Amino acid sequence: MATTAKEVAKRLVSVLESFPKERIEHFASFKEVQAERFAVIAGLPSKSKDLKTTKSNKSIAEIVSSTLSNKSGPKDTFKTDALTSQVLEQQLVSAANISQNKYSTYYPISSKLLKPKGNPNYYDRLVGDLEKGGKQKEGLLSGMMTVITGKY
Amino acid sequence: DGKLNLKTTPTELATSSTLPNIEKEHLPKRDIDPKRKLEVNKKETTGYVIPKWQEALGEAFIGVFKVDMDKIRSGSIGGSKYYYMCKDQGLQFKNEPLSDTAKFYYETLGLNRSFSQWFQITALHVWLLFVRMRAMPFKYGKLYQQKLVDRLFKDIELRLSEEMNVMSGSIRDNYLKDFDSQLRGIVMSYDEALISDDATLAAALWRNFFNGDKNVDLVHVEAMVRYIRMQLYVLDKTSDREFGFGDFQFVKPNEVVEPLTKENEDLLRKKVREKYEPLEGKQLPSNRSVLSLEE
Repeated sequence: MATTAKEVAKRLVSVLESFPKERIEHFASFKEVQAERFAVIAGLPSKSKDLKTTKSNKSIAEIVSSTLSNKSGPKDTFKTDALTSQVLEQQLVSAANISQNKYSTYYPISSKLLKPKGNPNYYDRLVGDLEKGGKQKEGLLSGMMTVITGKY
Repeated sequence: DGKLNLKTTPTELATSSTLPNIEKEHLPKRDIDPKRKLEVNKKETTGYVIPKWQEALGEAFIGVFKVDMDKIRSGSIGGSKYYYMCKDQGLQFKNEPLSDTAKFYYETLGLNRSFSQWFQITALHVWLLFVRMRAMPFKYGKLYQQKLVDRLFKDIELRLSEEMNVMSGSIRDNYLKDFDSQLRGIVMSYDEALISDDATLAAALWRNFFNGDKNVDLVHVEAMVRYIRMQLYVLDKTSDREFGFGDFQFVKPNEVVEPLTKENEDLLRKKVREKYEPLEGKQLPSNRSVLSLEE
């Protein structure tokens, strides 16, 4: 076999890490959880707070067993048995397609949907609010306008 | 891989993955096993034909009182036809054969068969329609959205009491509140993804549709990203008039959409004009509409 599972997993982690940072903090981050899942196979040090270890040169078996015995964490664990290099290659292609915006480029949408005529500022305001982390409150005047007009 | 190109359907793409389905231990796995199923109103079935005298009376009434048919249509199209289109995508009952679309979700993607998964599938399609409704004139788009979401929650409440045997009203109310906040989160996340990129869409799908499954198959996530972008493309090419009249269908997961050329698009617009506003022949009062034929 040309490439080992470990090498493919390393490339997979780097593709996942190139995903944009999420605008607001969610209960779990797709990018981080998945990067961690493949970092286990790649033998890379874990970045998660739960799994943080002082020694980064732990073997895969040790990391997996410590993950399994981690009672405070979520009940489900990473299942790495089925992740052969062939499977990982496919996962890599998919992650790369997603990160390269293959589909939003192939199926472009026009300003008809992006600046909807019923509510042209909708997406601008949504992103604006998300950029603020959903923490900053709306001003009284614009808040009242939202209620009266029903437009976001 | 040369075999997997842009002409691959989401189903083919998802099936091409060799990663076996990994048990989702932390998620509920419960087929919907109803004691009795909700009946579909006869008037809401596809084959229903309205009696001639009722039709004539209706047309006369609409003509005389100049009823705003675009408003009326929001109920029958947005609240009925479009709702059933969303609901039926992932509908499943124990010991009953799955529809083609449901097979894609539960067999190809290997999602757990449960009420909350059905809600996720339905909410995704409701959101797709919301995106299009927002681009209608404000007055009508808002109504279509309102009717669709009202129907969704009315149906969830009925399904909980009739099919899921949740007898306590206060428990049902709690579930409804929970589904309401879930829907808000879903709409917000997918809306953010719509104007961002495929990676944001993948993350939103993973959090909601794939239930944050740690062992998710990325090929399946890609298949869903492709599926959604395909739908959005079709919605973008559908005019207000067609959409408002219910002339829209979701692309099936085993179908593929090819981007239109300029000629295709002109031909499409011409056909739509011929269909809705024929040069000869009178238009029935019930077919009147102010919705745009062009966009």
